[in-house]
Amino acid sequence: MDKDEDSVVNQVQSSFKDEKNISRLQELELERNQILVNDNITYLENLFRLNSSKSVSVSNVLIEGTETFRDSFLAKQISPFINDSQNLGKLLQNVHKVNESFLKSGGIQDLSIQLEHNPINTYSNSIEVIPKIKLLPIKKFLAKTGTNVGNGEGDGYMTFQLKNIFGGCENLMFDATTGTRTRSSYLLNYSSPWFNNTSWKFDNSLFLTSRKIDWSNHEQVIKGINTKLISNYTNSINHEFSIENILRAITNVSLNSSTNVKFQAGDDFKTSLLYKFIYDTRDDKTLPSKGFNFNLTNEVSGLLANYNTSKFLKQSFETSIATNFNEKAQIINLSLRGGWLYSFNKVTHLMDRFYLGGPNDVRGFFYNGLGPRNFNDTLGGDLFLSGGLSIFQKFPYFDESTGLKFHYFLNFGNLIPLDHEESITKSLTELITRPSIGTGVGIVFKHPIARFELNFVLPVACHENDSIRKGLQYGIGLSFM
Amino acid sequence: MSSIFKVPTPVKDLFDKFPLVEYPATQQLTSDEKDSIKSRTFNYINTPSSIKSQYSFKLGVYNTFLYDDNLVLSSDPLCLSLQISLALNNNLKLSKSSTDIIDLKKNSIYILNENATPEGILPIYIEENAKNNKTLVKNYESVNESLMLKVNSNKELILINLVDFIIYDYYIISVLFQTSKETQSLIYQFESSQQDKFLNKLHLSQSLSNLIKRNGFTIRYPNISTHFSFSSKLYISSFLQSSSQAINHEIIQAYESFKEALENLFNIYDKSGFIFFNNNEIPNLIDVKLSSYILVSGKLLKGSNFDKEFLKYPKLQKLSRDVLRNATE
Repeated sequence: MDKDEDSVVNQVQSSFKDEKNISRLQELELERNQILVNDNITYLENLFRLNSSKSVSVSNVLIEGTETFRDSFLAKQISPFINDSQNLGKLLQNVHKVNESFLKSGGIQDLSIQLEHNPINTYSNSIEVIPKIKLLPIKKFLAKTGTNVGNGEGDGYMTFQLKNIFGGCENLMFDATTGTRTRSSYLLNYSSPWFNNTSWKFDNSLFLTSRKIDWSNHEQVIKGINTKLISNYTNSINHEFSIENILRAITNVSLNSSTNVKFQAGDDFKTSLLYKFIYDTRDDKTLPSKGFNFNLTNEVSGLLANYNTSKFLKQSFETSIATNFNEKAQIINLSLRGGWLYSFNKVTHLMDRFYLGGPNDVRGFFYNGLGPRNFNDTLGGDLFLSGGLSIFQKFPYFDESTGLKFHYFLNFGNLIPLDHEESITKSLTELITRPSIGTGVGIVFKHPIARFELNFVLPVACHENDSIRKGLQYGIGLSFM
Repeated sequence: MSSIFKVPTPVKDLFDKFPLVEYPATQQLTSDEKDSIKSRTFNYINTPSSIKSQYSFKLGVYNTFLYDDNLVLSSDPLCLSLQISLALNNNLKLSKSSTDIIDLKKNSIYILNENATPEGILPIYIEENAKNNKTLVKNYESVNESLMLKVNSNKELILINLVDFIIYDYYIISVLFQTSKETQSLIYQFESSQQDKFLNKLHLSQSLSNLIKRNGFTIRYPNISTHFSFSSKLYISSFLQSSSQAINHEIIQAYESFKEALENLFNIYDKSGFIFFNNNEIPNLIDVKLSSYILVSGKLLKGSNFDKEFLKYPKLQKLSRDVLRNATE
């Protein structure tokens, strides 16, 4: 190597050294800025706390970007500023409230709220404040096509959305899907805030779906109308009320299907009233590290007594608790689910029954592989109880941010038919004393859109006709037991 | 040769021990479900000469009607012909509604919705093997083919084709165009409760459009078939039933062929002295097939051209009663 070459190498090396120095300087600069920001926040927080009872008056609210919204909708969203901002503390709470209300509406892409002091103050004892809101509305029309692959199923979809149709965040959506299991699915949905209140959503759907049911050798055709009122509070409690009219058919029954399924073939019409209670304090829905969740769903069917062929009461619950140790190095999830279905016209419909088993609930069994079965048909049950314990651990040599974890689990579940001629005590005893149990270990990958699992599973206890799975089992979904 | 992919024997032995606990199978049917199935099931009656076998069969039919002496007969002629043929071939007697105890393991007919088959067409034949729990399922074409294989006379085969196509076609046309919706529903739908009425009304056009796919009717009568397929898709009744000239032409053509076929059949039977075909002592397949149409039309299609034509031949009416007597006594 000659001298010239040496000098070039030195120059390159020195330039790297300079870059290192620069990046270190930048880091220090960022740290300095962060400290300044934090100081400012602390100063402001103290200032606001000390002056929280200071009298404030809001006589005007200025809003930019209102072209696509109607006045009544905007008036409802900013009403906390006008009606309930007597002091600085309340005004600041209302900034949060108004911000949240706009974002929940689904009609806003982004917004900013600025509080300005009005220099022409006519009141001696209060500060005149003008909130200035800048709105960035979402795009009015959206069309999307794509494909989904997963869970042994592939489909293609087409979605059209018209947003903020009447200036009050009313949305209209049409979705058409076709795939390997879903022969065809059409959905027309209209939703809007309930009387301009974005904490409640009014949701109406008209749907037509035809779907192959591989685990029971038939096809289900569902046509219906659904009207829902859904709360969207950011606190832990939410509610969902709905009424649905569904005309459904068990059709295209395979020649090899069981007698049970053949006898269920044909049309059925149900009108149901549903109420769902949700209490959720979990920090994450797919893989929570702390918090508690409780859902209770109630369904009463047979409201149109002269027309409804299905009349029943159905109730199900789902609860889970998550806790962690050593700064989330170990996470424990405990869950319990249960439900019962009581039919007034004796035989329950296949589509109303509960199904159990598979990678998302009782691992170590095939999808819907538990409960009453005849030949290869899963018939579903009227009474079920299932639960599980999962322990998650940090994945060695991988950073927490990769979303990878190890887990060990134990799941149990039992699903039985409810025989009206037998005592409920006998049914409950059977439900509790003979659970199918699965256990195993696996890898969990938590992605923002879903949770992926690859497990080694072993069924520990089972019923004679359960569809058991030994060895590797993978699962994809949002909700796991 | 050992492979790296082969699971080591100790590991395999360990895994084979799982599941460690096995409970009895979960109950499949509740007592209510059993009652519901029994209410739609009618057992054949065994006789001392009945063929005893490990196999038992079920015949899925659209609906049934009560004939004299509480006899339960299928409401559709194709279902009825199989119902009678199976009884005669297995030395069984046709079911009666007065039978109190229904045994789900016995040979029987049961009422199913047409959606219980992939084609949406009945009858369906299900044979169960009690020994190995295996089931053999056959559609109408397949069972009919088996029955036809037993026919030795070419003349009978030709006449069977005449009944299976010419008489069948005009029967279907009579059901579609000359009977009320109530009768259509009575033949092709099952009603177990008041609420079923509403659903049956909604589904009737779909049931009829499935029906025309049976036995090659669609190929022989394309205009009628297109019309019914279209109206079922729109969930409307066939209010424009005879508006089209093409449809009218097909109806007239079918009627003329039917009259001619019936006259020919009568002449053949008349020449043979009018016992069963070929002067047999027990009914042949042609006798059973022809009788099925006569029995159904006499009970469910009263007043239709189809029934009126049969009424012109009282001797054929007697044939149907004789066939029935052979399957009940």
